[in-house]
Amino acid sequence: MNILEVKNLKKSFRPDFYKSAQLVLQDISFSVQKGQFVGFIGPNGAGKTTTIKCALEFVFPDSGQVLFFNQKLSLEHRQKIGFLPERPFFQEFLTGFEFLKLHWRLSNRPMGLFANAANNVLQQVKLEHAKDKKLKDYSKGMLQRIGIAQALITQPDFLIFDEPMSGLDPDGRILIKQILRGLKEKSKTILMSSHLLEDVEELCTHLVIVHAGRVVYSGELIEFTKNFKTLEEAYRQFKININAEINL
Amino acid sequence: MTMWRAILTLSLLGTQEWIRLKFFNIVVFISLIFLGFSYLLSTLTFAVQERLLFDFGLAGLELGLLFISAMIGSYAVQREIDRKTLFVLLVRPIPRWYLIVGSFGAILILSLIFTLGFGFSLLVASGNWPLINNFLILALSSFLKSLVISSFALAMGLLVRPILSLGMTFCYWILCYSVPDIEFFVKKLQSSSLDKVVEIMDILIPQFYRFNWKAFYFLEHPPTTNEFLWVVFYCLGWSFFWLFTAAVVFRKKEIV
Repeated sequence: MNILEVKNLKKSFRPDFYKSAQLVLQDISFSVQKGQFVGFIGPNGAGKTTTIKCALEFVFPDSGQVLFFNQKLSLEHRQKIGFLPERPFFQEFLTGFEFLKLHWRLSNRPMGLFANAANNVLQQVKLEHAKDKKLKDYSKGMLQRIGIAQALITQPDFLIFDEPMSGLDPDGRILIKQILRGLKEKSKTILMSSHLLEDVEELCTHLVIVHAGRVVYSGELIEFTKNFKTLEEAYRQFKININAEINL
Repeated sequence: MTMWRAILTLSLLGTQEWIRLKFFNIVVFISLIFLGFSYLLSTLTFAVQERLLFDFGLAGLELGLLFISAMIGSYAVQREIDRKTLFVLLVRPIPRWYLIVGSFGAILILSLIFTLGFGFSLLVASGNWPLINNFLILALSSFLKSLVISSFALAMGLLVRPILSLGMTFCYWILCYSVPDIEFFVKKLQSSSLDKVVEIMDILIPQFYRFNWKAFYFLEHPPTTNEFLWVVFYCLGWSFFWLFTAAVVFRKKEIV
């Protein structure tokens, strides 16, 4: 079953009203099936975050289509989606617990079930001890974890993580990886954009590679790395081939 | 029920945020200083102590409300966009317009707290409690005007940068009181085309000058119930118009 299907997405931005529009997404097409953990990789400015923003309707594509659960994104579908933005910024005057309550309320869930759900998810991201601390006193790693907690609290069917491990220290990365591994074991469907190939290799089952606004690979990770020792090696060779094709 | 719960949650979130930012507290502090000066000034006069206190006090109330609504209205949504706190809210199963109404709700709560607090302080300073009913009508008319201003600021804050929106909101507030003055000068010029412009302005801009009740005179000669009800519906109508505009603009606004 298709959880997310992106078809021929094109998007341009005009940096200023007097400047011409720049095409950021030229042709993005891929799909995410139920139970897959998809790594969404590519260089800076390739269009990963813009694709995610188009999918979640933060920005609107010039053309193309995005389908969630085989339909256009609706409020009902949003109930089933959890999202962690890149470098998350949250309402820092709230405590971790209040922050989760805010998202629970906005997701229209019965308040009677909140305490249980919050404690479960806080346990999952190992933040029970800091639930009454204000978010402004959280470290970067803790903020990332509370961000994952808000994405998980409503037990969504599909999770989108935009660079969940960027800027974290090794301990933070290990902890986030543990959480993501736990989600993988529960067969959650996840789309994770990342620059960190070793993390993608360790966690993901599938791969979507974007380059200059186009999808240049979409498929199984094993298939992509079959002739190489590591994903990094495979990716390096793949980039050489792609650049050679472009130069031709 | 679900809708109101989400909107109330967003309103309370906005209220908490703006109180934490201390802008609201600064406006309250400056207004109280203004009230203190009005009180001191009134004690220096012999004949019109109460008049002076209420004239200054009611003007202070309206100015305080103007600052709250213009500032928060202009910055409310753009601030969330700039700080990227909007992404995790937008992904929730709520229509975008809830965020506009939620921001408006936050301004409404803060304005109401300010109106009640300032009004109470003014009545304590005057000691004239029998006037409380009439005073409430005048204070509420200022509060209602602030709703129009805040909804205008919200709409403009989505169209242009907040600092521009702030400037536009202050100009709008001045225009809301100034159409008769402009009309007077245009009549002197005897230009039919400018006459038309003023006529159109009178339709397009709320006519605050029709209920400019921030004076001691209106405490003694309060507006009738019908006049007050007209103000309620008039201001709510304008607020709805600007909120609707803001919601339409925000619906297709790209959050980059």
